Amino acid sequence: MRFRVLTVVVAVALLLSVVPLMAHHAAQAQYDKDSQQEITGVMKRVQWINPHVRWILDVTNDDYTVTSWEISGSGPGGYRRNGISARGVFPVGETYTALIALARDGSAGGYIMTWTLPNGAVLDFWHDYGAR
Amino acid sequence: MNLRMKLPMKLPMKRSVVRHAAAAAGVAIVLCAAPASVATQTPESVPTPRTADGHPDLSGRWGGGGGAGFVTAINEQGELVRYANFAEIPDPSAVRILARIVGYRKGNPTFGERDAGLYQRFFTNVPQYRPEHWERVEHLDMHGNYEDASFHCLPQGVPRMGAPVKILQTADEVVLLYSQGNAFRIVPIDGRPHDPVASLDQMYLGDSVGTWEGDTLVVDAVGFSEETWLGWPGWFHSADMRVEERFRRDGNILHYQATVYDPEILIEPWVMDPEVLPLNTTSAAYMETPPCQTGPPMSGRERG
Repeated sequence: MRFRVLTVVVAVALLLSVVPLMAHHAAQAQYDKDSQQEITGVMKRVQWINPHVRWILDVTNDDYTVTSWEISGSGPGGYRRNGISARGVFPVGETYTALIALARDGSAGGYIMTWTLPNGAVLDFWHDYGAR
Repeated sequence: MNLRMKLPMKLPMKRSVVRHAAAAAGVAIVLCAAPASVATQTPESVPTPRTADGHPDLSGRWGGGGGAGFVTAINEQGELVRYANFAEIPDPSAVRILARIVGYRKGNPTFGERDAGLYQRFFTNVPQYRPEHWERVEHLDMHGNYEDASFHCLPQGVPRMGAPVKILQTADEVVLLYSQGNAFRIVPIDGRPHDPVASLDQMYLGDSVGTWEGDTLVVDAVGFSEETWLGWPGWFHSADMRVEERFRRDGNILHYQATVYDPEILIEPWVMDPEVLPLNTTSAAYMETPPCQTGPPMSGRERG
C-alpha cells in the first residue's frame, strides 16, 4: 500500500504537473548551454505566459543599432513557487544583465541562465552546483 | 517579517508533488493509527460533512498548494536561506536567488527533463492497446514531444488533468474547478441523461452527468475530442471514449479515481492511478493560470 501510494505520488506528480511536462520541450535541444553570452540592455517587455516566460531585452550594439533579444525561461508556475512575480521582480524600462544559453538557430535569443537585476541581485535560473 | 531559516536539502517541491506527498502522509498516518485504534484524530476520522439530502458534501478545496512560494537563496556563507517574499531580502546583491526548481537533479533543467521522461516510463500504469494500434503507440512513444496537443497549448482534458482543486456542491449540481487552464465543469446530479448534442460533440472536458452510488459520486463523461491523451507519451483514445470518475469523501480526505472505457482502442478499461487529496484549509490565493501561446517566432524552435 505504501509503495502504491508512493507510486501514485510520483506518477501523478509527473503526469499533472504542467511545468515538468512543458520541460519536455527540451531546452538543451533548442539552446546551447556550452555557448553562453552575457548581454546588458533595457527590459522592453515581460510576457508571463505558458509554456515559457519570455523577456524582451533591447540591447544597444557597438554600432548603436538596437537588437531586441528574446529570452526564454520556464513556465510561470515554477517561478511563482519560487516567489517570483512578473512586475514585482522585472519592472520594464530598467537595465538588466542576462547570461543566456544562445539559441542554436543563431537568432537573437536564448535560454536564461542568470538575470542580474537593477539592484544587483542575481537570480539563478539554471544552476549546476550541488551534486544532488 | 524575515523568515530567514536554514533549509534541509530537500527544497520546495512542485505543487502536485506537495499535494500528493501530503495525501500520502495522510494515508500513512491513517495506516499507522488504525491497528492501534488510538484516539488520534486523522483526516479520515473526522465525520464526513453531509448536505441536507444526506449525501456527502464534496465541497471544499482539495489538495495542497495554491499561492506563491517562498524565495530561496544562497547567502555568502553558502547556506540556503528563505524569505517570505522578494521585497524582504535585506540585501539582494549579497545573496544568489534560486529562480529555478531546485528539486531537479543538480538543479539542472536538462537532467529534470531526462529524469521526468524516465520516471514516466518506469512508474506509470500504462493503458493496454489493441494490437491494430501498436504502430501508432510506438510512433507516439518516440515522438511524444512533437505530437502532444498540450504542448501545442491545447487543454489536457479529462481525465489527464486529474482531480479538481475545488468542488462546490448544491442539491442538483456539482461544480468542479481546475487551476490548470482555469477550467470548470458543471455536472448535473439531478438524474438527467447526457445532453443529446453535447454528448456527440468534440470537447476537452466532455459532457458530464453525475449520480450517487451510496456515498460515492459517479460522474460519467462522454463527447470527447480525440486530440487529447490519457497521459504522456501518446496514450491516445477515440472520440467514443467514456470516462467514469468516482469521488468519495472520507472525513477530510477526497478519493478520486477515473476509469477510461474505449473498447475499440483498449483491450480493457484503463484505471487511472487514484488520487488521494486532503482538504486544503490554507488561505493561500488561487492563482490564475496564464494563457499558453506557441505562435511564431517560438514555434519553430519549440519542439524538442
